[in-house]
Amino acid sequence: MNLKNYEWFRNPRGLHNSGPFRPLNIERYLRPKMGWAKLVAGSDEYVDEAAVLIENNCMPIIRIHRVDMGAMAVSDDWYTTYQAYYDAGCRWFELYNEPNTEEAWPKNPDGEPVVDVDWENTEGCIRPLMDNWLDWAECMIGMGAYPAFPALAASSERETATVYWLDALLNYLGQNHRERFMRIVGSGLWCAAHPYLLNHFYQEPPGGPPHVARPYYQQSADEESGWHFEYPYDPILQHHDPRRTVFGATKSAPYGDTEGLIAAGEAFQQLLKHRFNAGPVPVIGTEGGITPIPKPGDRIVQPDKLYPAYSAESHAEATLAMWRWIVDSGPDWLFGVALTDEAEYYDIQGEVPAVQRMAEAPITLKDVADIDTGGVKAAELPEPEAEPAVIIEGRAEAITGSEPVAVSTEEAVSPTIEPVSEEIVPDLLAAPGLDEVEIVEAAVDKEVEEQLPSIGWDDEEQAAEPETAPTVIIEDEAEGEPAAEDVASPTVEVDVLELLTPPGAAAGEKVEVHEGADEEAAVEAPVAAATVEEEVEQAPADETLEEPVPTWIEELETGESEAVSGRPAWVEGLDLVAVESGAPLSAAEPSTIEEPEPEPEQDEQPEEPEEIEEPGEELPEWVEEFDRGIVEAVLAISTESQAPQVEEETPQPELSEETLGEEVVEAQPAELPAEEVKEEDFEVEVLEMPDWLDESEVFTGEGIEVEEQALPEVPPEPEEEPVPVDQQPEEYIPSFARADEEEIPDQPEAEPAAEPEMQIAPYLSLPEPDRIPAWQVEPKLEAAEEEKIEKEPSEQPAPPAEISQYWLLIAPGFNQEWFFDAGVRYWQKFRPVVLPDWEMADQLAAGQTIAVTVLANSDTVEQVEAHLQQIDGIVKIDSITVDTPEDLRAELEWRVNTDKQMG
Amino acid sequence: MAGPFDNHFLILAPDLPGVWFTQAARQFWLAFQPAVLNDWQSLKQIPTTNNILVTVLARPQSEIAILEQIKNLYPNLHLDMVIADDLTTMEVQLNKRAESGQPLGVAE
Repeated sequence: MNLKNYEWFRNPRGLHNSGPFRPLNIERYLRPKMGWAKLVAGSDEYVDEAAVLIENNCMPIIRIHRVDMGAMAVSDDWYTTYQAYYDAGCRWFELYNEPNTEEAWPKNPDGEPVVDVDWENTEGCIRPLMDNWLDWAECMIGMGAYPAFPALAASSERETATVYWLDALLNYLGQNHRERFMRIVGSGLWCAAHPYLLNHFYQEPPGGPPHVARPYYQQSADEESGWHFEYPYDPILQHHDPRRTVFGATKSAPYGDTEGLIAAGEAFQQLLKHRFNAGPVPVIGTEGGITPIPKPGDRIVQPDKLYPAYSAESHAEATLAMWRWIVDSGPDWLFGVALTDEAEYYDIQGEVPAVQRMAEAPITLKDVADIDTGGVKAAELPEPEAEPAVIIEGRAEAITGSEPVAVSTEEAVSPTIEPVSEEIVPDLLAAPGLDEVEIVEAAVDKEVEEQLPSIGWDDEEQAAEPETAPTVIIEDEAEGEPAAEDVASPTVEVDVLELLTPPGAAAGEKVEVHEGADEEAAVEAPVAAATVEEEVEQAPADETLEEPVPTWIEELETGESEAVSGRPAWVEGLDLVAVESGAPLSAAEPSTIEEPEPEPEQDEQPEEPEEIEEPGEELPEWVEEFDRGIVEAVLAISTESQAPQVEEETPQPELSEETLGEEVVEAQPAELPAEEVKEEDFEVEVLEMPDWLDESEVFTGEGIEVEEQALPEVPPEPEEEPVPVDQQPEEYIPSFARADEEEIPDQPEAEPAAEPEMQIAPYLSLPEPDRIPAWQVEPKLEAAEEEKIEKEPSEQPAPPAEISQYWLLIAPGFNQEWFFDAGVRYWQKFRPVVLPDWEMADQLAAGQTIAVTVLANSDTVEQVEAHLQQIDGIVKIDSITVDTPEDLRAELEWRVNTDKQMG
Repeated sequence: MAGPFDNHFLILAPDLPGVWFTQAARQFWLAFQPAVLNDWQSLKQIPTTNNILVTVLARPQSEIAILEQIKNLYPNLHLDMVIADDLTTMEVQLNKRAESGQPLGVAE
């Protein structure tokens, strides 16, 4: 299928409804000119409205809602509902919703999810999700509709990490249902995402630089340039955490970072390309937007201190700018976002400014690129496989307290239920699916909202089922399914085996582990997981070397997919970055891209862990480097080559951003030793910039200043060489390898060191004056702290010779809170002496030459100036007379941006 | 003014980012209104007859160095070192002082 062939209105604006069985006010979608209407429905209650929306160029996206639906199979009657929507013109459908969250799964009486919601839980989560989703997707395609790959919640927590879940799901499909999935890819697949942006966007000041953000009150959607929605690839984040990608790839984001407009979609595209050599497919944010919307009592909100705050007004500007950015600058595959949600935009606090802003602004339509999604076309779709839907038998622990009963979801897509292999899954997996009839009835009565929470697991149908063992057993004869004895996923086993042990004897040990686990471990997948963990823990450090390295990271980073499809898209971006940063591309590309040649796209498993470092191994060499903290290593290389330069330059205020950047970057390749050049090359590979960022959004020259600031990170990290293998990998736990639980907490522990730094937004961290006073003895700071210090360049121009001190005097009667609200950047940049009044001015000024900036109200300024003029030593008085905090902020921000301490 | 002291100053250790003042010490400053200095030298301008309180914000590794610098600098100086590893801890400590109205903190 071609991106051009998907039916939609090319308008990326969208709005999510308030939920099932609620009156749908069409005008709320049409007035702000929405192109998408995400409709969460209980049944067919929105069919008529959907038709009206389509008539008005607004395409519905339908998801039938069930509480705690987990991985439930879809029953036949749902397709009747789907057909009704399809007949009304709907094409876009979703099934599951954020299955990487506990909220999405059935709960036991204690309120705990009945499955271990973890991407490593193949049997309990991944398998049923994908098996049932495949059945559904095939039926939807048969209908002519477009099935959505399930939207995942944005998460950077290990168990629920979005990118790890995406990888686990796609890996499972690749291992078990490759052909079926490829047909779906070629027949209408799209990916649903939930891009809740927070404040991960900004607008540059006019003329840049790109890593500086305007304050919110200066943002304007009408000025179309300078907006950045490409998080985490935007200059601010790359400034703050160089080389972070949607997969993380840095210590501060070990489990990925998908809290951006394009992030989850980009991750999906890369994984789809990597595992299936397919894509891109359309991505639509079916929830999300700039959240939270400031409430009337909130002057501004700032969820992430790295980025500017936003107000209700700037929220409107940014939302409008986002639509334009999607059209003009966003990736081809991003088709839009449905803002969350109708209630938020209209009801909770009344109509928010963004609605009116959108209503007034004309829509811009996206030119869809002529890009094939790959996969197998629908016309080639053969008869559905005989594989039955996932059949789940088990004991449902009724919420109402009734005796556990066996349940079945045979009424799912496949009519035939034939137990073929027995696999153990966590309890009550399919429980929510049992209550469809009840839910539908509720829907008819328009009482779903009341009834949904109590969807009876103790209903008669369940009760009628024979009681079985306390474990739910999935009987599935999917192609390539493992034998019943294989409690853990075969994929898991193979991967763990091959990652942890040499092909020989060690592998045998692994097999023993699983065999030994058989029955008991079969009872619960987590048990098997624990067993594996123990195994991992027992393994020597070097055996676990690769364990924490996810295959997808390996493969993506090594450019494995290019073997199939040519140059990976992200390499283009890297090239651009490399060029701009002065890195020699010609030298960089070959060594890293070519080396990991032997990769059969999905099963690239290392033969011998110990040898992964050696060239020619199946496991790419960068893995080893990555495990050692490759990012730091690369930085170290850069720093080594420039260390003298940087150390000399840092204290020199004369250096401009440009000159410093040039020197830093250009010095790299020239001074690198031969071996290190290789690592540097790798570094270039590591940075995965999506190709759509190439043209305009790649971190450019200004960011070089950032590089300079990041350089100090290197010296303090001597671990480069001996790096204890069993520690770093934890950051990059593979989808199949069990991480050592102790080390995972270690990760967050490392973070606090950077915490103060985190408090300073990149857009705030403009050059500060040299704050090291003469009396300062050389502090014995830790390396990390030295970094932080150095990250605050001392570019503040030295005071004129006649001025020995700058003061900031907050005049009596002036609201001091305003200074802390509006003067943060100013003070951080210029560091004046702060006086709360003139009481000490006489004493402190003695023998000095003082320039004073006075914050005063208009009615007191003259009095203050008169007093100061009488003090010896004060040679300049610079009054800022404002009567509102906004005025003060504007004035101080201007001074910061123009590097003028005095007005 | 802070209690029996004639003057109250706040100084950040030189390795601390500015946010340690603008964020961590915000409530503290609003409560006690110390003059925020960049260096010790300004203290020499204060008459030696004054009793002065100097609150220094620092990380543990800077403490000794700062003490060495200041211990004999001023005869009537009461040095109050507020030591914290991170910004949040510092903010908590200072906020407690602000809330209690005790610039030197309250014995716990």
